Amino acid sequence: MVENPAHTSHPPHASVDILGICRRASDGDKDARRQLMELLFDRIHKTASYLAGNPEDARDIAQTACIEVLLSAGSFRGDASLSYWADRVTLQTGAKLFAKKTRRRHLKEKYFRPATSVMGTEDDDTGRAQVRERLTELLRTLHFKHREVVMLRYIHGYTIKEAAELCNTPVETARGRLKKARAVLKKKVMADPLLRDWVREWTEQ
Amino acid sequence: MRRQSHIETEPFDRALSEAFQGDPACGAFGTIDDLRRRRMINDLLHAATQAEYSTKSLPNGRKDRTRRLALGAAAAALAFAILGGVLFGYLNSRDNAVPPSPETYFGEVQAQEGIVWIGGRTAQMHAPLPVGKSIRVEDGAASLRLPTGIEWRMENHSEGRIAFLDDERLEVKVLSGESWFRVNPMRVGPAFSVSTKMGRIEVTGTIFAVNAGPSEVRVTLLKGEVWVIRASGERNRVKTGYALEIGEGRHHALAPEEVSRLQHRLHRLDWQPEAAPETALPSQGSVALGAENADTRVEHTPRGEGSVPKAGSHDIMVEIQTQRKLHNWGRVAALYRRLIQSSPTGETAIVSRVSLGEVYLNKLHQHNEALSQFDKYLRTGHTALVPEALYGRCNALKALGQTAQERRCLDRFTRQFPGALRASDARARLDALRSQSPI
Repeated sequence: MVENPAHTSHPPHASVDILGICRRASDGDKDARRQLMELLFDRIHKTASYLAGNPEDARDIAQTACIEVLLSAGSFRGDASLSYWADRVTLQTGAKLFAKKTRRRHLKEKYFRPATSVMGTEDDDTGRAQVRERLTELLRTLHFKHREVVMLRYIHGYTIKEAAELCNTPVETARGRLKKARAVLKKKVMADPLLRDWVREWTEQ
Repeated sequence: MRRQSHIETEPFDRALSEAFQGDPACGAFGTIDDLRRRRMINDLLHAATQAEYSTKSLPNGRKDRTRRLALGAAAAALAFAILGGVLFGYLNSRDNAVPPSPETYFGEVQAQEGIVWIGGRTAQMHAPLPVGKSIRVEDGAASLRLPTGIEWRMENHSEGRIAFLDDERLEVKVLSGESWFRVNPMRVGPAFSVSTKMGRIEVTGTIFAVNAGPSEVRVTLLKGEVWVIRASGERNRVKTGYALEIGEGRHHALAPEEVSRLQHRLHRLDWQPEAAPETALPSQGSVALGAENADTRVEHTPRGEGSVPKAGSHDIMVEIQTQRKLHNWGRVAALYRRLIQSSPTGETAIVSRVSLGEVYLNKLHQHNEALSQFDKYLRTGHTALVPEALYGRCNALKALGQTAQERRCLDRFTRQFPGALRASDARARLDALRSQSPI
């Protein structure tokens, strides 16, 4: 049984303005839909990009989740943050896509930048961006269920309880998946010289 | 209650969390630039509307499943539309080409001095260009940018569309009016061609203009060369300094006056070729096509009086360019005055008044003279440079301290050219003037 998180990292009550936007968006108001997309576009794409095992799936998840968010905006009640709600929609979309996928896809770098071209923000340094890129590649090698909980925990910073609710799974199951994923990830990280050095820096701090 | 696992406080976990601090807003997608982001959001909104409409008419019991199917179909259609500059076509062969989905976008409106209509609706600057839909320009001109090094300028009363697009081929169709193209020879991307009702133009890095009239299509080369494939299948090469009337098959050298006019246009667009036309222009005459290699002269036909080249204006234009580069603005102004005096009613002279006005205004700070040139241009009835002349007039009045007249001029400019390059600056200045003196 999934416990309702008593403490969330996201405020439980959304602003009235957000609720108004969602309500108008569900009525088909084009401006409201655009506003909603402006608010959630980056978040949904970020979640999808780390959730999926390859760029094509990431794109499919992101696009489908965006459309689903627009069509089901009326279901947002304000009892959790908008980001939380969008993450839930994205995860559900990802889970459906994963359930349908039976064939393997080859990883294509067409949509994502190649490893030699490092992406980052203006404040980011090249070293961290390279680490991130390597980690993203390792993430993609994990099983979808493990990737899901790792992404929620380490990238979005959700607690285990919140991650469990988002994944629609018991807390113990989410914890077990995280533990297993972490073990696999740690083994791969330690086998990569760049990532190993990165972790050792933290160990020595 | 199970205690919080120690794994979440280990350095490894902190290292993992820290690694993703400051990642791009869209995560592993990297940074998505504003244009692509806007385009993607437009497509998503459209797809959501499509998915919604496909379920509206159904009874409730069927809505959920149908909505999922519609969602999947919309997302699948969207997958073809939203790519970072790489678009898929689902055509079989070149000859049986079917345009991709109209929801596919390629390029954007980069600047507009008139009204741009896309698919029957007005479009603003930076609006994405849909493939397959009509693009029409009225009351001015517009510059469009197609990715990978193609600038497309549509003059007043012109119409065209992106007719075909896939990984290997990009085709723009000029339906009517005048379009200019500047193509970077170093560009990487689908092979670019321009089609008209009378033939297709294969382009590899050049500056040229296509004028599609009701009964004739004219291709003028200002730099580089193009191959024109006529409807009969005949191929004709057109080199710098030459023009081809596709329907009649007439290939002729450009008169110096026309070269001057075109060079001035290029200067206005900031598209100057690195050098003057490379080929020596014949003094007069036209060449009838009879062979594939169109630059072989077959016969000469004397041209009418109106096209007798005026010696000197070309030289003056060349000298103006030279003096501009040297920043000899006094000399530049004198040359423009000479050019105007040599043929006051000629097109070159008319458009030169705007250039001269700008030199007076911005370089020599002779504001009365600047105002005089702008006013003279506006009185000619010539339309191509009205936004520039009007905006220049506003600035000249501002420099002269004639606030009331400046305000009226700005009001006219912003009303007539709301989408012009300087429209936002003009509106800001107008607001400032109004706040100083509300009446």
